[in-house]
Amino acid sequence: MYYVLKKKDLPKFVKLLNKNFEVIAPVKKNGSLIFDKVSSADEIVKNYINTDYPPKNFFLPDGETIFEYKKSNNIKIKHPGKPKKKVIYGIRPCDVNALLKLDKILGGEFYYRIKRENTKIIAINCTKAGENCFCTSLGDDQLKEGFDLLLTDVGKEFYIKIGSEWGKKLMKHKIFKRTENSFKKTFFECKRFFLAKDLDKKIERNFNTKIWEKHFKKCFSCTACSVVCPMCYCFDLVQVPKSENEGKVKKFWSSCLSKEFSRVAGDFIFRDKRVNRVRQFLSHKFLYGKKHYDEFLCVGCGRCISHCPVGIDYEKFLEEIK
Amino acid sequence: MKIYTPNIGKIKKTIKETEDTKTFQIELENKILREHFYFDPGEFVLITVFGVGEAPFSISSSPFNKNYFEITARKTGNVTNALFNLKEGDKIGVRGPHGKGYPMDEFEHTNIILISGGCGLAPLKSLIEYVIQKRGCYNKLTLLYGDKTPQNIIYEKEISKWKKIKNFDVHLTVDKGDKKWKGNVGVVTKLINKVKNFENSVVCLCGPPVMMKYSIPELKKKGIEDEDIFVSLERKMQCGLGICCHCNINDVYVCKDGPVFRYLDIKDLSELGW
Ligand SMILES: Cc1cc2nc3c(=O)[nH]c(=O)nc-3n(C[C@H](O)[C@H](O)[C@H](O)COP(=O)(O)OP(=O)(O)OC[C@H]3O[C@@H](n4cnc5c(N)ncnc54)[C@H](O)[C@@H]3O)c2cc1C
Ligand code: SF4
Ligand code: SF4
Ligand code: FES
Repeated sequence: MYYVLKKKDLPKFVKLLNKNFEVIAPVKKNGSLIFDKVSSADEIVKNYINTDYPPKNFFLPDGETIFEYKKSNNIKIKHPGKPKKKVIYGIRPCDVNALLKLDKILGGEFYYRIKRENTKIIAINCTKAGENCFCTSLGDDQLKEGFDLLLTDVGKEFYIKIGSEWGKKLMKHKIFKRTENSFKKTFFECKRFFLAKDLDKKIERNFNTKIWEKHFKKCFSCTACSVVCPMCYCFDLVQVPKSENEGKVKKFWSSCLSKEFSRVAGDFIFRDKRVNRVRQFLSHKFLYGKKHYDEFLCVGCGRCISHCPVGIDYEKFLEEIK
Repeated sequence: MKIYTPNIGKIKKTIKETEDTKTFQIELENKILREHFYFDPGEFVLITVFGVGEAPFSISSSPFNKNYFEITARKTGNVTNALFNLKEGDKIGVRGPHGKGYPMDEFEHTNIILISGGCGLAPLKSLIEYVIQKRGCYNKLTLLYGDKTPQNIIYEKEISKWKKIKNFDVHLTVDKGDKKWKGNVGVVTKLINKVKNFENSVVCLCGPPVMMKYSIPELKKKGIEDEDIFVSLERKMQCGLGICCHCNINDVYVCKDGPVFRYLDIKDLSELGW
């Protein structure tokens, strides 16, 4: 069973959502397609394969305040209030799958969980793959859960699948029509393809070989790939003093591709060589992720490939590694 | 859970060990937390100096001590410098105890040989005090401790007490002696020959990587197996809980799976570096 929304009713839908939520949707800003707050449907970009940046910052904001402190005789600690209720409209299945995987890792973190709990997910299925997409190899093109509503674009209408009680209630509004019809699924497969099975074992087997040097010697540790990755969550906790007696502790994104990441006192750096840092990046995703969370910490969105200034292509590597 | 928010602790006492090293006695403000501050020797806490930063330190006091715990910090950078300047009565943040320490139950009725360099003695002091308090459960205790110069030696008061304890051998060495120094000179590895009996023994090493690198082959020559050697490792840390990924060595997380590891479990890790 589906519900149908006529595309011309999208403005009404956004208005309806805006009553109780901040609506976050794909918009064009400074030349990039990103997720940002919208107040009406005309701001939303409708024709896109995926956004240039994932909506990661709505769950793991770079530089979010963990707590504030004030020193006097005592130390007073204050936590930030509840975040505003949000709905993310137009998120792709790969990015939702990234959130589901992050839940396994960060679910115990209050800071992450409270944002997850306060954010509704209205996902839109892909009908076309981008040139760098490889989600189908990892099975992350499909959504079985993790959404409140899942929309499929069938031309003039969206077919809507319900994923939660909240979503079900919303469908009572008159702009949605219930239907027992089905629609013709557009089947697509990313052009890029590899066998995901045993990727962890392949990485483990090649850990101490020259393959890293061969593929990644051009990497200059700009960290762009981890910034745009919907699954890169590593962080630093940083004190940001405001005055002598008060300040904040903030959580900043941190990338294993940077030298600083493993630096300890005495300027000792455990991963001094660039390729070893790329190896850490990929091993974390495909070897340690599998071991610790039974997941590959990559959803095949291809953003790392699109953003690498020197043309490093992780997917090609995954195709080649044996 | 608000896992990155520290609890508040008060510095009850500071003890100047050397020119650059101090021991801090810390009392948690919250009584319930204080009473439930359980740890095994070898575990660590994350200490926040508000306005400066947070850093990991091994707990150096005995787990039986319920009113306060201790850390011993050497000045090396931002946090440690700021910590050094704090006074009795000042407040700090405390997270933990975190990590896995020494398997004290497994050590019962064995001889324990401790090898340490520099600040590596801190977690071993916790172990020593534990053993002293449960003396009947453990056999012979041997401490081999090396530091740069006689002036760098920490826990002098404790060491002189330990020397008087039955069935506890203490051997010190310094890289470079002075006029007053009558003890051993040379690297700590050389002290291994002072140990007469290696049977039914476990060895715990804590110190710089080179110390571990050169001690382990010596120990193997004496017949100690990899599974009976315990090393304490150091890596950059942020979360201390196995989340932020700063501390991994291949697939092990020093903060969560360690900092104390059985040598057998980590000796083949290619990122170990020694
Ligand atoms: C498990 C463990 C136990 C430790 N126990 C002790 C101890 O008992 N006594 C002692 O003097 N030192 C100990 N250290 C080392 C101590 O944490 C560092 O000396 C300290 O972090 C240096 O911080 P800093 O701000 O003074 O130096 P900076 O060079 O200014 O460092 C800045 C930041 O880098 C990180 N960092 C730097 N060095 C280290 C390091 N070695 N380990 C982890 N993070 C680091 C910290 O987050 C620190 O805030 C231990 C380290 C670990 C990992
Ligand atoms: S590693 Fe690349 S393809 Fe995989 S999720 Fe991250 S950005 Fe997307
Ligand atoms: S984007 Fe490319 S150059 Fe930059 S860190 Fe990633 S792989 Fe290296
Ligand atoms: S310190 Fe964060 S994972 Fe170990």
